Amino acid sequence: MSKQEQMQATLDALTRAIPGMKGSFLCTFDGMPVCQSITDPGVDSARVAAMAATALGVGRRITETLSTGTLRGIKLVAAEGRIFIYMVGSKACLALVAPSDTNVGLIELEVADVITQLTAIL
Amino acid sequence: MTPLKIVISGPVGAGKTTFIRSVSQTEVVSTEEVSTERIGKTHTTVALDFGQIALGDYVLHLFGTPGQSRFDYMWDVLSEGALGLIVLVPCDAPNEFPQARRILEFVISRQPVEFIIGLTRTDLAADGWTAAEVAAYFGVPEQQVLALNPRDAAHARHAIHQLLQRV
Repeated sequence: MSKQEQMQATLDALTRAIPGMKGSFLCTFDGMPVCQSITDPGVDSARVAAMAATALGVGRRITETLSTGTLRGIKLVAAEGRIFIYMVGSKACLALVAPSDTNVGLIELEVADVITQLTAIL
Repeated sequence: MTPLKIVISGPVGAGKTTFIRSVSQTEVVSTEEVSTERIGKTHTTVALDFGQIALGDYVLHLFGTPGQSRFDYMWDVLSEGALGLIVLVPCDAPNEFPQARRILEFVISRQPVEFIIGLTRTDLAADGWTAAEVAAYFGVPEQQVLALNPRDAAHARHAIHQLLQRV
């Protein structure tokens, strides 16, 4: 399997594992989309990629300035959904768009595995 | 006194981050990440640059935007409540002029801010576009286009000064 296929399979499995997930997205630190697994066709992957990079970029400056160690991720809590953005190694961002009643514990467990898998692939 | 907000925008590689770093009197907050695209340099701004300068009685907050269109929401976010805009344009990359125009129109259509165009890299390119030619391209009077070196703090301060005269 090519790297692309491996990443696709990993993201597809993640999107399937979490009920109601709208999509999972892998992108570069400068906001370019790499791979995505989407159940909601209304979500614009290119937009998500750019915004995830911006959010993590700002997050990293905040954690550096406040000396809280290396940033691992960001959570956006909104009225109609939750968005989780994680660092994957030192090159990529993983963004998840989930419903607001999503099982956060399950997401944390699944994402930990996914980050390990994606880091090995990249 | 309330600080005044100035936005520095323009296409990738025009010198926005450099401009703010040259002129800021406080440590600049930048959000540069490794660029996966070939843009002539290793890093690119993914969120914003923030710097501060005191000019006369005024404290100015300087916000630099990313240049790529995929970050256009930052042009919007950062321009909110801005007093003025400096659009940096590289004189030797006319292929970037449409992007500069896109950014200018994007910001001005959402809030009517005063702006000047800062023409950069005039010290690096022997046959780059002149201020007069760039003014004609953007359809503005020549006084609204200033050749400047973003590495030179005095140039940058002068540009901000010129912008403030228009406000």
